[in-house]
Amino acid sequence: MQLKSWLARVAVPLGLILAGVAVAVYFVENPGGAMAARVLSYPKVIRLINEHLLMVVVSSSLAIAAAVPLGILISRPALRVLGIIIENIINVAQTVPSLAVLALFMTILGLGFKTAVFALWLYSLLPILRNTYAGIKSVPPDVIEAARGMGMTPLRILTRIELPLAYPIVMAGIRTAVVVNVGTATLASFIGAGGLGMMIISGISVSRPTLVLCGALLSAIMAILFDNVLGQVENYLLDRG
Amino acid sequence: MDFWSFVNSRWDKIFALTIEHGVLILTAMAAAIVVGVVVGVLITYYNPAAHAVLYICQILMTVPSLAMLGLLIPLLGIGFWTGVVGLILYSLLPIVRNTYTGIREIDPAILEAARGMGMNERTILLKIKLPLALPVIMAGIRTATVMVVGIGAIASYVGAGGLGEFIFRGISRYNKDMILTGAICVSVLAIAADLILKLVEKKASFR
Amino acid sequence: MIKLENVTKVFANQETPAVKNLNLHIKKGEVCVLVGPSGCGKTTTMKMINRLVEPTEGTVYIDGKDTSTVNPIELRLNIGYVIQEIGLFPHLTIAENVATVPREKKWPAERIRQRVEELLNLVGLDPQVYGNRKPADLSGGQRQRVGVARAMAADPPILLMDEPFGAVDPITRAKLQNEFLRIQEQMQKTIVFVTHDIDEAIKMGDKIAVMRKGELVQYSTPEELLSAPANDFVAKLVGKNRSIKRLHLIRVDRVLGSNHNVPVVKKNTPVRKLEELVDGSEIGAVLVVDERDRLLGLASAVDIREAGGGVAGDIYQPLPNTIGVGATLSDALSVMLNYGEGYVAVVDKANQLTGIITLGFLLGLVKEDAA
Ligand SMILES: Nc1ncnc2c1ncn2[C@@H]1O[C@H](COP(=O)(O)OP(=O)(O)O)[C@@H](O)[C@H]1O
Ligand SMILES: [Mg+2]
Repeated sequence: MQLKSWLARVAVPLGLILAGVAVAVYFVENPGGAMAARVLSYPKVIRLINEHLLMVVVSSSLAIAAAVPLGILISRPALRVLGIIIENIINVAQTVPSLAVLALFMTILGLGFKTAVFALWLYSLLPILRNTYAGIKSVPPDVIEAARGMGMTPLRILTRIELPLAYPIVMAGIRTAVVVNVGTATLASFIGAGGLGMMIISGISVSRPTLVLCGALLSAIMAILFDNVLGQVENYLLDRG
Repeated sequence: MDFWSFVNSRWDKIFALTIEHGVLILTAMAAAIVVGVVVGVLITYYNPAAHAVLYICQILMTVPSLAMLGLLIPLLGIGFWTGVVGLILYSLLPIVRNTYTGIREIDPAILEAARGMGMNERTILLKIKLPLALPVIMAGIRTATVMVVGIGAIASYVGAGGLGEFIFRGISRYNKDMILTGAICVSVLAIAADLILKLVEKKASFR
Repeated sequence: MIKLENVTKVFANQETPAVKNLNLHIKKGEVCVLVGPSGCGKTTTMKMINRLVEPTEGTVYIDGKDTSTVNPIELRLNIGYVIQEIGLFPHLTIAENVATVPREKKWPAERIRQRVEELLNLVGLDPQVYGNRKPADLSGGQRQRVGVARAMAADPPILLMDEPFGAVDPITRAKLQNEFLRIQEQMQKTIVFVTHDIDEAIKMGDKIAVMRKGELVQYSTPEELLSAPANDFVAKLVGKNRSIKRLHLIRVDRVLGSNHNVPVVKKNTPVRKLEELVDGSEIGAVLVVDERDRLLGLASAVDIREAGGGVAGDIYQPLPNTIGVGATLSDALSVMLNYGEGYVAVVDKANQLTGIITLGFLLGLVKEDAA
């Protein structure tokens, strides 16, 4: 029984990883011409995947680490006005296209991996921050009132009532942010940060569809993989209370 | 300072690219709205198909837009229509999903009353369901439009024109003023589209 | 137990005070109902007791202690609190909800489990069935019960209840009210109960505080409120059919006392003595009780005259028309109508005679109102 549920849990991520490996192997073995073969070698593909993963993982974890505490902070009643101001700023900032964000930071910070990570960090900060704030604000006021009236301290109300109730919304924000992040990271190649975008860009510029397809499949698989794993983390934490 | 002189010297180009960007988006959105609403309505009549269609749309969304546009090149070549098709594919999910849920969330009592009064399905759809779901559909259209303004900038890379040209040309020549102009114009366009459609959405929900 | 002294609350950015110079003294074991139109300051008054709202002026004492000197968390952990919206925690089970305060007080797990079981049983919810459900799986009435159970979890001497039965249908509400009265009879808590429904106030309250625009208009027992409204406002609030309301809402045990002249005699009283007494009786009979005041029956003037001698215990006849102390005056009236008699004896659980209600008394009430 337990083995079965454990298998069910790892089956999908494992399958996705295998699919990713299969895609990489297939395209390296069948690059479709010498031009594409220059990018489609094992060391190069592995390097691009690593760069992409690193960009996504670093920017996303830093975004979570910053956005969740910040969201909690601005949802405190004492900072009500600040919360509303930040919420509105986020709403506007989120409509700014990802390419524009990357381009803007490039003009300030120059080309490179660090610039990309910073821009991706800022861009994924927004949905997580917004959902953390909205999730805590969505806790019905009478629930908070009842908790206060029964003598729970503000800290206990936060940890036992507000955060558990906001949790699904926070997690939804994190999942959206990470999936979007995987896609946006392909654009980071334009500002010299490497990653799977390199395959797509070179594929377009030398018109080799195999390159584009390989980059597209690998980044899509990566996005689905992150989404699935985060979904399982969400359920796992939910079960443990 | 350099920036302003750049902007001043390129007014005509900025104007032309903005118009190009607008045409790209409007073309894509017009098609996406027609297709998205029709599909969204159709799948409300058959639940298994609904889940399949929504799932496919969701998977489409995980494909990075740059890759999606690149994959269209072997099929459509480089140019305006490649961009349009790419944008349509991305805008479908929010429109289909919101049309579907907007109709699904109508109070069943209202529909029962309509049937009880002898309205046929066609009339119910046109006179009851679509008007009631309109605010939700409008919200989906807004999400899609804002997204498409951004992807439209990426579509410049596959020859669809528009404000993305400033950004890509700026990057390749390392011309900061050019990049800045492109990024700011696209952002302003996205924010403006968001605000305007928010107003339209409000109008739609008042009725 | 609870004392509010010259308490005033002015909310920030407001000119008129929400509560104005209020004085209220609530005795231990009493149910004090705050009643009045919406916005008159009932909730604000109640929240000043557990310091969810701090008074602008004045002092609130609990057991003689100024509450502003007590840590608010400490204070609240010892005051049960039920609000209209109930505010059950949607992500916790019913059992976990009820366990909230004991957990905050760091009771041992086993004691909490026992207490939760006991409380759910008390409010009529089977812990086996409902303990592990989430609030969303319960009906409105059941949620209200859980709210009450949660408030009583750590056995606080004081309960604050803000329109606790406001969100349920009238039939469920009546049921919950009756259950609540039953529980209160056992528990004898000091309760502050807020409602805008004057009928509920009369039914539930030992004392009723009528409020208007932040001020206390009248503070009295339900009977006084009905028989002597302090002013037009109270009279209007109580409504037109005051006498009917009194019959429906007032419990018989509240009006027992010197409202009749029916002699009560022990069973060993000589019949000769009865002859004198029965003349003064409003119902032409005397009631006979045993040595422990348990009701045996009644001896009518005719019985007494025919007997000639002996003691009361020999001549009484059983009396079927009795009611319990918890019944209302209208229950009393319908028993009278059923038996075609102008009186009904009131007995407690042990069948001890606690009083008698006569038709004359009920008529008197109605006349008083008509005047
Ligand atoms: N937190 C608050 N801030 C400002 N005004 C309040 C607040 N709570 C209540 N009031 C005002 O105080 C008055 C009394 O409110 P309340 O005590 O809730 O009345 P009731 O419970 O009798 O309906 C109302 O005019 C209300 O608007
Ligand atoms: Mg109130």
